[in-house]
Amino acid sequence: MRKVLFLLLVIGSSFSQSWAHEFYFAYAELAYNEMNQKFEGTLIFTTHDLEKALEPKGSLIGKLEQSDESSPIRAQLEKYINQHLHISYGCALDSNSFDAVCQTQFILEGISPSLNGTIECYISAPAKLLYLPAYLKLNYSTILNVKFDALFESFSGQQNKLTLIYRNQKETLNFIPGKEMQKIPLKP
Amino acid sequence: MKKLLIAIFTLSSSTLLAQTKFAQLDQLLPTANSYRAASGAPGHAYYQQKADYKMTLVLDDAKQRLDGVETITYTNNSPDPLAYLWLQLDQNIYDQNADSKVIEIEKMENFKSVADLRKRDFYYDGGFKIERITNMSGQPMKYFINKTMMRIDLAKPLLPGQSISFQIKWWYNINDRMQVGGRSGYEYFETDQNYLYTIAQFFPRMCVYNDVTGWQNKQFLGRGEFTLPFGDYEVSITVPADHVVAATGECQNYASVLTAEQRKRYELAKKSDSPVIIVTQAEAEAAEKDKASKTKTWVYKATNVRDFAFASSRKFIWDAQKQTVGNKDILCMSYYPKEGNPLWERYSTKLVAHTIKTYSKYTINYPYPVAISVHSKWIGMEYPMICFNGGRPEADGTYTEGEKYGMWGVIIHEVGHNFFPMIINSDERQWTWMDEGLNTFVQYLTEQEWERDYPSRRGPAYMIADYMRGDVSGISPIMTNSESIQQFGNNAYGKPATALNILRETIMGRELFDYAFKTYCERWAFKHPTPADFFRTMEDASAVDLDWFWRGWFYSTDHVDIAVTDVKWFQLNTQNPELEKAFLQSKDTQKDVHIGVTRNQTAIGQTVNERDPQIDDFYGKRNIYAVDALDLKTYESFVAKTSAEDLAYLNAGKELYELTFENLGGLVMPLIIEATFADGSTKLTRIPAEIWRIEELKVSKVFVFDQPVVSFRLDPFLETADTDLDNNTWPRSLQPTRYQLYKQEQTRENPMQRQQRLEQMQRGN
Repeated sequence: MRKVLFLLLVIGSSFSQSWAHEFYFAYAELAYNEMNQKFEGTLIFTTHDLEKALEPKGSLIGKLEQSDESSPIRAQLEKYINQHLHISYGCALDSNSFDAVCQTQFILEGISPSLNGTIECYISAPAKLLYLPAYLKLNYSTILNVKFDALFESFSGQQNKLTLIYRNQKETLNFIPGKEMQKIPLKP
Repeated sequence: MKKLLIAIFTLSSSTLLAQTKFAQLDQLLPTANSYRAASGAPGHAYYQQKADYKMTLVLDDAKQRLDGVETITYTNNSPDPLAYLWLQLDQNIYDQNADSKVIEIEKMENFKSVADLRKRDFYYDGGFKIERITNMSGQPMKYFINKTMMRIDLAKPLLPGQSISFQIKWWYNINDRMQVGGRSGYEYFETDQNYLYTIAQFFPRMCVYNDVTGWQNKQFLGRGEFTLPFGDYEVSITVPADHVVAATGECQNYASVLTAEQRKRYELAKKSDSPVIIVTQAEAEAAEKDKASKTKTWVYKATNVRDFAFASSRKFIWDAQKQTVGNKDILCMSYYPKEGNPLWERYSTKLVAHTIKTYSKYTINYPYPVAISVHSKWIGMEYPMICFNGGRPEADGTYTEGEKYGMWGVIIHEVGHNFFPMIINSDERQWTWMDEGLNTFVQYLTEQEWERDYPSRRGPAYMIADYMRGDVSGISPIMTNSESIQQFGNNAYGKPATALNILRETIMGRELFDYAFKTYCERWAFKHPTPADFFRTMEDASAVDLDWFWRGWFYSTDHVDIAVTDVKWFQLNTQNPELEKAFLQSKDTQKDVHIGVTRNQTAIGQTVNERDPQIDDFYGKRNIYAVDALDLKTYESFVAKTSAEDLAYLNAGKELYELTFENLGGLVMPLIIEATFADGSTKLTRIPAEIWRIEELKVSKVFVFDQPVVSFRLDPFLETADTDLDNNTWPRSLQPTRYQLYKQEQTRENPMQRQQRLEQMQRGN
């Protein structure tokens, strides 16, 4: 099947192989807060890799390390996170229906750049109806479809991991180019 | 609840699972022989080849082209006759048809912009142009180029102990590093229309021939770097007259390339403990404008090096200082354009000096006369005595704190490469970790001596946990060929550096580790070590069997997740009825009481049996906690049969805990258990990893203390890279997530915002 290639007219962005750092690894620690019905977590990137990924999508957006909450780069970052970290799951909008799809929309609550070259991005997203009420006694387990392909478009060697924490369970998944989406069946 | 301790003197029947984690490495390591001893040292018949080079180079600044004529003298120290020689043609990686371009996996989504497609199809006329190869009589020699390798066929075999000299004339177009990428090339500065050249892998270089690989002629695909024989170099480099050159080795003719004032500064720098500017920024800026049309030739000599690289630009500022190592003064130097300031003038040379001093302490004394750091945007790349390093401030001269640490880290790392692999000359084409991993480890030690609590990116065990945990489908064992490694940085840099740090801090201890590590460096300095030589030396010099460690950390993708899964509490039964019955009574009175019982105490004034003494019979009247004569007689008998020491021990009030540990991650590691007592004091117990030698998945251990424990914590100092700290405690206590810690913070101000607020306040005052 022929696919249409949408060419974004961004010309002249610099590219180079860097032999200095060889990091290319991002990590997400995401916990489901059942009380608040929210995903809450932290994304950890190499700061200048992240800045480089954000750069072509705008101009002169500045340094994350020097940004504050009103800086344009923060809005850019929140948008980028939502493009590259995405969770969806079948959810019931009423007790008779399971065909709805709930999707996350993350809010960037803050960032914390570290002097070792990494940056932590604190995020949360409402996620209602992840668990159905026990009294329904339905033999149904929510399956999360998780996409985490941040920086894949910028670095071919990029690899991401995500640890999901829920109900005292922990599962860590690996994401690589070609395997951007993973399923997590939630244990009861 | 007190449990009775019943000592059952039966030897626990061990479940004899197949021994895996502690199996010796014999099947995995090559058999020791006369070239490489079982101790890990070079064997009595160890040999290595020698390749000496004389080169005449001309840098054409107008065409960005490098021409060279090199004479190689190759000495066969092996016991084998050689019918042909293999040379490396690294520049051929820029050939239009190079394998390195073709083998990249691609998907359409990789190309989201015109720039992406242009990058893919970018073409420049790269690669070596070999004009001639002749013997010393000028007769052509037969050769064949196989991509990045070139074979020269000899008229007659080069016999053991013989040398051969031959000449190669070549040229190539230098790559624009900003467009093409690469470890070397040029950077063009549009504002002043000048070039900065960092030139390396620029001449046909002899391959290594040794007892391990024969000819190491595995193609250069871009990742697995190089392995090269040692030799002596004499190189003359002709460049524009206003260029300043930095190169491997010692310049032989400063008198003809520097001004009198610069030579005076140079002499001053050789005696100075802090950087002295030899070529000033004003001189460099003047050269940027004038652009000389004449040329000068800089002549260098380098002894016993495995490679040669240089940098050249009229933009260079140059400073230097001495650093004494052992009884030698090393000249530490930096070359940088004004765009590198203020960072470079302030830090680079001091970092070079600190690095060679600190590495010398942990490895061998730095043996070369100079150590050089050249500023080169974006990259970090190492060659003997010289390296090219990033760390460029903004155009306005400002920089973030993160950028400063990034620059510091890359300079320490690249200068550190002088030791691994320039001197301890491992095969980078095969094993990236042997230079990057060991170097990253010593980099960490060096960073910590540069600044207390330096924010190192790699080294401490806990920092590798995110990478190692969970799904391992994207992880390669460290013992993976350089070209096939997934996650190059974490795998070849971070994980081995962490592993060595764990060996040093936890498994072996600093004294044993440092001795063994230094022994490895001393044994293999100016030689070609293999992984087996490293593994064997570390054990040979320490008397620590580390086969389980190499197997787990270097040959597997297992991770560390050891959990405390059960804690049982015991106290010794003294057999003394007065103590034991009183104890049981106190436990009885401490039992939870149903609310009805409590209320009935007051609601029921008097029960029937309280009113009528005839109701209670023997059972109703007996006091089960009363000590009678029979109890005492039994105890007297027990005392008579028991030694005084045992009685004392029984009555010492010992608290016993049986802890169960489960190995969930696969990697066995020492158990480091901290017990915290009611009075707040703690006791640390360290159990070597050999506790897992028979039972690899689940073990238990009994701890005896003089007072009750309120909590246990496994790995309290984060030294094992345990990937799940939530299961390390008893009683279970969940570690806060990073998000939770963030939410607990009191302020959202970043340091710069706080500084601005402070300045505003001070202005207001």
